[in-house]
Amino acid sequence: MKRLRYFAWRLLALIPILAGVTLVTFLISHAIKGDPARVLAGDMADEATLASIRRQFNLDKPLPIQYLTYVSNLAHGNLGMSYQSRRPVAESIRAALPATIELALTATLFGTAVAIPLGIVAAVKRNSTVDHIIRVGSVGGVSLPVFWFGLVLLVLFYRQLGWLPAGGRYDPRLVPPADHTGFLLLDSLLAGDPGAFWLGLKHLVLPAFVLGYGYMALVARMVRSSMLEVLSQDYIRTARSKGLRDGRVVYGHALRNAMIPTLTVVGMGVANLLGGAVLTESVFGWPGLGKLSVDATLSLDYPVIMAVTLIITTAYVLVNLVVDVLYGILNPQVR
Amino acid sequence: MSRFAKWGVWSLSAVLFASVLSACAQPKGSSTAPGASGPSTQPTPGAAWDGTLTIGLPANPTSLDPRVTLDGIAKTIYYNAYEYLVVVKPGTSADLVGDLADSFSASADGKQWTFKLKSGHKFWDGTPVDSGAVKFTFDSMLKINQGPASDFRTIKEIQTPDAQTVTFVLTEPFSIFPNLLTDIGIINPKVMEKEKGGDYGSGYLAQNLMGSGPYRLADWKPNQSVVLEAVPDYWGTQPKAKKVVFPIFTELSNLRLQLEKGDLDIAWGIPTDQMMSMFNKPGIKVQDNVGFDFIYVYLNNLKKPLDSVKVRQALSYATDYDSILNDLLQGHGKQLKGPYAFAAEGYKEPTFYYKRDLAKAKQLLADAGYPNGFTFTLLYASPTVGAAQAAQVLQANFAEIGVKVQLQEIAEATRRDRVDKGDFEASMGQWVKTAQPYWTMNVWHDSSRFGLAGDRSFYKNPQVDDLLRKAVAEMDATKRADTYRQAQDLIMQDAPYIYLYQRNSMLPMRDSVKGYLYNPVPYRINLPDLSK
Repeated sequence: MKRLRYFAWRLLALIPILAGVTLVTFLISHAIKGDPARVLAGDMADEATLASIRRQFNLDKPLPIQYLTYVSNLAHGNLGMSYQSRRPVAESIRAALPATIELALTATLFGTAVAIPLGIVAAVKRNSTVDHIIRVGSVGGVSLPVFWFGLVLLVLFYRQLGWLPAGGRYDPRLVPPADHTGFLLLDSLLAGDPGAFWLGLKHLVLPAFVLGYGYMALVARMVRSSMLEVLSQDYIRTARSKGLRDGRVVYGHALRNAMIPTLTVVGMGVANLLGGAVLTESVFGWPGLGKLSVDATLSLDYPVIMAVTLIITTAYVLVNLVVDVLYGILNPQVR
Repeated sequence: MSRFAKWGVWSLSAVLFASVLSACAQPKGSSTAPGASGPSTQPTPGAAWDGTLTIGLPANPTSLDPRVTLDGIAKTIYYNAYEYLVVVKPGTSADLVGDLADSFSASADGKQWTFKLKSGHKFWDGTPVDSGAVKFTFDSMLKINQGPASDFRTIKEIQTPDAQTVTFVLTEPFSIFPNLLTDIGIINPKVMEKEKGGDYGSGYLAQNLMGSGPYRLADWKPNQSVVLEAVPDYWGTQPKAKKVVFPIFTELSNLRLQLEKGDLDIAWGIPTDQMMSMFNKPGIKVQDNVGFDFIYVYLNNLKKPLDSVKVRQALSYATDYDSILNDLLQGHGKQLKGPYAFAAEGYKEPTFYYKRDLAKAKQLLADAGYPNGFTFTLLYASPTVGAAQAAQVLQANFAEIGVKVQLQEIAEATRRDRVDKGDFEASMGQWVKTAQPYWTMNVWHDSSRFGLAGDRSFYKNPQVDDLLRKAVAEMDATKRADTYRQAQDLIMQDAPYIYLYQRNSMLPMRDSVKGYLYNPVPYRINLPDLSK
């Protein structure tokens, strides 16, 4: 009950956080020198044309009024209308968000699934050749520039080997499965179309690998260092002296405790993958939130900038909440 | 960790690894697994042409409404879905021919333009394209008052004496009025059934097309692809390509990779530096034509020391035009020898233009009172094609006469805002338009257009203003060209800008693409004749 109340509070705290984020984003995006009306109307527009556009998009009002109108619309579930595409922002988000989640989740699954075993092996075989290889690979993952790494993989797997497609989410010449959930892989399974599933998966492999690689490296390094710390603890020595098998000591006793600090990195990593896939999405033409936010920023499309920021903030807060829940499960002391 | 969790981690790794391997092992171009539905079968390379063309684009289109949009990508998409009163004759740079118009003529005073429409043209729902539709398109564009509307401010009234005749009554003589019409597709007035909140259907047309051209919109997935399909039972000639797919690329290296590999038939938007390597690629041909894409430098004529004619002339003499042309464009362009652009209507080689002459440049600087040079800031932004490279060359060029240039890269929106307000010393600029001298003469130099509206150097010479206004009102093309040349002679002495170069229009495509005919209007590809 106590824990439930805590989580309810945390969820409620999301409201002031989001209010603060809307205000800060609003101020920052409006501080950029530039006039969205001019972007829309074109260079040769006269003052009357600019005035009519400002009126239409509520840009002629003082900033506090613009902000209050935005917040009031938001409270009614209205994210506004994109200046550029003239579509409701919610519609653009609805198209981009599942693509980003699909990419980020696959990257997370791949990264976590590879990072944890690697981190354990590196810790257990400390200073061995295997450990060195894993550490060098991890340093590479953290430091490789995404746009360079992505292009190298494209040249190799698309141009030279012809194994994987060059980018995008699906072959644009083909009709994708009916859009029920926005998640292409899920939709293709729902449509009972394994061909579409494979094609979708092939498009996902490279961007998910590139996005997940840096994250994987980070988590592997964290698991390794946490494991090393835990493995030097007295209770581990006790466990070993009791004659427990190595596997039992590592997986049964050490790993659980080593996972506690790792969880924070995993949580932040997941949130980062959701909000920080801009470069990966750009290199692979992945139609997600990153791409949407870059376009919106370049064209001063305030409603889209605000909406993307809100969504990413919400994702951060929710992921942190989930991490807290898991913390409680892993570590009884924080219950 | 429990035994279950342990098992979970390992089995998840195994599944992912197996998925990756299987995905990799699936040979490209093979048909999909048994049970797959028809559409998810990939086209097989080398098979007979299935009537599909694939054209890569460098960005997502914004609104597709011709009355609203200024976006080049949107124009590429909608161009073949609409018909226009007149179009530029393919293969020429400036000759207008009727598209919907059978003939057109102006009144003697140049204030009335009358168009006789061809009969038999129909919108996709069978409604005839008549004078009412033309009037609706332009009236609603002016009411919406966004984007291209500002080019049409001279329209006072549109008359439709009968279904096949439409007359534009203008507030002042405007000799190039028909040239503006190549941009505005005629819209089916039934779009008003989709009107919301007095928007004249522009919300609907942002994402839909309602024209009378041979292609219609089949699908649009934002930031992924746009698909056009041939209109079934089209009243006119059926296009050769039944389907045109426009995948959208954000990483332009990827656009190039896909063209080289043969997954794209045409790639639009490959950056200039990467374009040069496309000329010798096997399987690829580059359509290389005179373009109307200008790169120039705005010198703020109101800021010291750039307010001095001699200083501006000195900078024009210090510029190494040949080096910029040869190094950056490898010859795929021309020096802009003045604002009257090469191949524009009535063009003749100018008698005077700037060539590199450092001694003269130094002398002019000394005469202007700056024998030891001065320092100024040159702004540029990444969307200006080749701006960074050209700016660096200029920096080196000017250093040779003792002028120090501080290069400052800023966001495009900020650069434009500062240019509009005159809050800059110099800025790189780009201008993409058609072969009408009006754009580069009147718009760049008429002092009523200070700022982004066109006169971005804040240049003012009353004599030039008079000549430019006289030229655009002149209905005789030869006299008009002569007047423009007189204005150009004065402008070149004042050197309000540094006129750098006119970039060729370069469009790389696979050798297998047939029927391409260059359309000199930027962002236009004539799709109906293309095939493989």
